[in-house]
Amino acid sequence: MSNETKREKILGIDLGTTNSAAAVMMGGKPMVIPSAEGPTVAGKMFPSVVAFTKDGQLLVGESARRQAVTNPEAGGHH
Amino acid sequence: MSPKKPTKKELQKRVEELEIQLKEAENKAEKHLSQLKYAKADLENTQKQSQKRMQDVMDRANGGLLQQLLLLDEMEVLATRDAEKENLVQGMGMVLKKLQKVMDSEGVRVIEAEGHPFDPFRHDAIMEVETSEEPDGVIVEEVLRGYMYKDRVLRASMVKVARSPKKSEEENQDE
Repeated sequence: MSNETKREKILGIDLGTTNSAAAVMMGGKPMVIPSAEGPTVAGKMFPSVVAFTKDGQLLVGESARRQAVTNPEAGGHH
Repeated sequence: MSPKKPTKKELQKRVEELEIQLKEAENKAEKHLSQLKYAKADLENTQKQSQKRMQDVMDRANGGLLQQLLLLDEMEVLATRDAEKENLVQGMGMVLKKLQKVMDSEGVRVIEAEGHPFDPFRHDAIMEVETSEEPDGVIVEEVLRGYMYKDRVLRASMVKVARSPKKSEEENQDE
């Protein structure tokens, strides 16, 4: 629609040393976006870990943390 | 040729026309503003209602599940009864079976671990074990059983993963 005004979304990201979280403003209130892995011990947050598997697959969050012991050279902690 | 200067009468007529247009625009704006206020109030009410409905649905779902887990009385009887060990074990076995039935009917499944390749989406590696009996990356021991709830991980299984001695040697050479 030509007369539709473009509304920008505000995204807040908290990159923590242990966990990270992201939130958007919805109806004037900040709402934390739940991680795809579902609620964990840390709530809606997810571990600040990124890794690559041996076959090059990118892992983020809980799955990256779980394989850290087996693949320490391919992981990164914030 | 300069344009003809409007007469006083024509100017007066024009002012009257503009005043009517202004009044119409003001009425329209007022109407829109009131519609907007109503729409905003409606939206806020709908949001509150939908939040309440969602909470109701969650409470009902939790209630249904908790009802199935009301095995407390049976556990209490077992915990307080001065019975033979054999009978207690039999009783615990029956309670355990009931619990497993509830879990099965709700869609909770055990995650396969030992002998399967390590999968970070379902398993949590707590350590590596150097062995030539299993291929590299295969789970050699399950320390804590994991569960799936439908397609979600309820709890990842804690496992020990095989690491081939050859790989360790290569790494030592690199260092």
